[in-house]
Amino acid sequence: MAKTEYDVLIIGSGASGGMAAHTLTKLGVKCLMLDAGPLIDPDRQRVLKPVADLPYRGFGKPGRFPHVTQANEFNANMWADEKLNPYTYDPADPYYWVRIRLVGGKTLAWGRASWRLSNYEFKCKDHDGFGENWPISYDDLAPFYDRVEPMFRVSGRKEGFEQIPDGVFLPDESRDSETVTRFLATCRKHGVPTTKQRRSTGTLASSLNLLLPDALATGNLTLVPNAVVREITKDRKTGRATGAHFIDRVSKREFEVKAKAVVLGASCLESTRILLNSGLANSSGVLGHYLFDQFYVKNVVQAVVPEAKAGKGGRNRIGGGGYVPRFRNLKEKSKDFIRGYAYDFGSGNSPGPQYFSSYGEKLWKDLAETQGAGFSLTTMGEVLPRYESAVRINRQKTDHWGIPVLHINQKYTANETAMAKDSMQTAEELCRESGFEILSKHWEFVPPGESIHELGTCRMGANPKTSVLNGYNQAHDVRNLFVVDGSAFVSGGAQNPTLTILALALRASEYLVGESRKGNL
Amino acid sequence: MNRRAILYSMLGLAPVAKAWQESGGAAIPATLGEAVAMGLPRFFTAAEFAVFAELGAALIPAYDGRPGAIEAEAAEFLDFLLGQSPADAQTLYKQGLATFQLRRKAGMAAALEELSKPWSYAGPKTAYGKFLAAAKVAFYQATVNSRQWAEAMSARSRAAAGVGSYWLPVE
Repeated sequence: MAKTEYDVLIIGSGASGGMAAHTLTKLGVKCLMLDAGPLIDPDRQRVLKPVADLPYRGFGKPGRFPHVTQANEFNANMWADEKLNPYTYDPADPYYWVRIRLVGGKTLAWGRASWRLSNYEFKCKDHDGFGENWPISYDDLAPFYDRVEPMFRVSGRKEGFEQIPDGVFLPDESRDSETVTRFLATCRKHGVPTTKQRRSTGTLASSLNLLLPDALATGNLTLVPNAVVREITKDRKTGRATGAHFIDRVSKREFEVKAKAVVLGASCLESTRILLNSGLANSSGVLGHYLFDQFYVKNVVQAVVPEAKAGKGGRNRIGGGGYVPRFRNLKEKSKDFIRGYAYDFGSGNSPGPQYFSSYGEKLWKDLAETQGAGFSLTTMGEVLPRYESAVRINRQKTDHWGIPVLHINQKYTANETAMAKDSMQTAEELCRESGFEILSKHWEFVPPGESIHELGTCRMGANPKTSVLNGYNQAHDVRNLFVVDGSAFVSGGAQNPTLTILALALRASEYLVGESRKGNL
Repeated sequence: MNRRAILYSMLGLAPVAKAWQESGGAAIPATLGEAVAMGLPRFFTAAEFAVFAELGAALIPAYDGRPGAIEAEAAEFLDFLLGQSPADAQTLYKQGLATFQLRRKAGMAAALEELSKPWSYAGPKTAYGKFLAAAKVAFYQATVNSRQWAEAMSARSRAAAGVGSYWLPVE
């Protein structure tokens, strides 16, 4: 028997769960939050160490994180253990699933890029006929973006670009170095838009720091770390969600908890895994399908700025970077692909030894010559959501807690490849025309999942036969169940998704309270 | 009041981290075995190890005040790392080193000829080329991440010690 029936059970404490808790508790709703990981204090969990004092000299223990390219020996203990948390895929198509299981989730380590989606995403089908439109439009979400940006102190510059709508920013008035100015001028000449980065600021722009403390301070939030959810329970007669079964991470003791409504924000694929394991919300048959993310071509071009070579790059000459929002298929149509890509670019880096065909003393001279003189771009491309890109439960394998794991199947196809190649060509032309020397170029993207922007599998839609959630992140099949993380996305553009996840979670939580007060749940 | 203080006053601190930082353990200087003792070769035979160290010296020599692979004991470290590495990495190095030993007879420049190809994402086409490219980057990284490097270079730049924020184990 469960002890207390909470108003709302929130599963997950990252961007989406944290925002749900922040919103619901302030409206007087009694919430219980379960997170699969422990609660840590990032300040005390980390110590400064020289790399030479690490047993593997910074290389890390071989084979510990075969799918987490972001892991290094400094941060290895932050990532979810791959052996305790396995998953499967077809060996021909590896999927890199990158996870953090700590209170605060991936907001403890995110890149903080904070872009709005636009109607190029929300109404994507209207532009090129592919896929589905979202059941909401930009105007529905704009007021919620307006409220999220000040909470996360997003800095940026207003530009009036339709594809990345302006928001409520801390104005970024920083000056550009000569190198960046030159690159911006080349872009302008070719009609390629550019802007400053838009990023959340502050020492720890995390759910752990910005959302959970306020929620706890209301007295309406009970937070239980180390609670690994096995399944959401349901009332067989009414079909409503009644709470959850969870397992203590350390002792493996099993528990049951009751709630009047459930908000799932366990991360894109974990939320879908919980729903599939619970046998819930899948009358449409599309739960688990339409998985996508953004493909990254890391250092699509690595160049060197001649004027900054041999240690001549001062602070005015080189340094800083910026962002190129999507510019393909806005008004004119590309021949080879639909949708588009964005670039992050930066200057002042030092190209590593792998870029030089030298060794010995010549290598040392090459490295010294180009130290701090690098200019590089990374492509972030839109991936098309496809029915065949999907996750399902693998009944043959369980995790450390005996919960069946996911089998993940995602492949990039011709549209992504054509886009990646176009991005390489364009980046090369822009760099050459800016007078930079090209050190390397390539179009090969990282494996699916590696960008940590996994989206879809529990998508929204107006039609309950082809979607899992309605326009308020509410399950079509289960009125008192809301899924508020990235799994709800219908399409994702090239923009980093967290800001949109936050805005959707805020909107869904307020809707939940309204419906609950009207007795509609 | 610190926002997070609310959180931790209600839930208590992560015990491992707290104990570690409050024990004063950080104040007692500790030394890694590597600083006072030589690593024992485990992966390569003694004869192979001598060739591997020679390769390291050719790829990453000491230069202009910078320690090289020999000074940084990079070959000793990489032997240890390879001993724990997945089988495909072990095979690449074992076979690559055997090829290097053969080609070395025609001179170092001839043995390292395959490094002169321009960079590509897929890397060199031959297994030997892949071995050389991997060894070059590994010897470089093992050298610049060494204690000897930090000591020699910290006079030039504060970044040379490679200090980073280390995540303590989570219970």
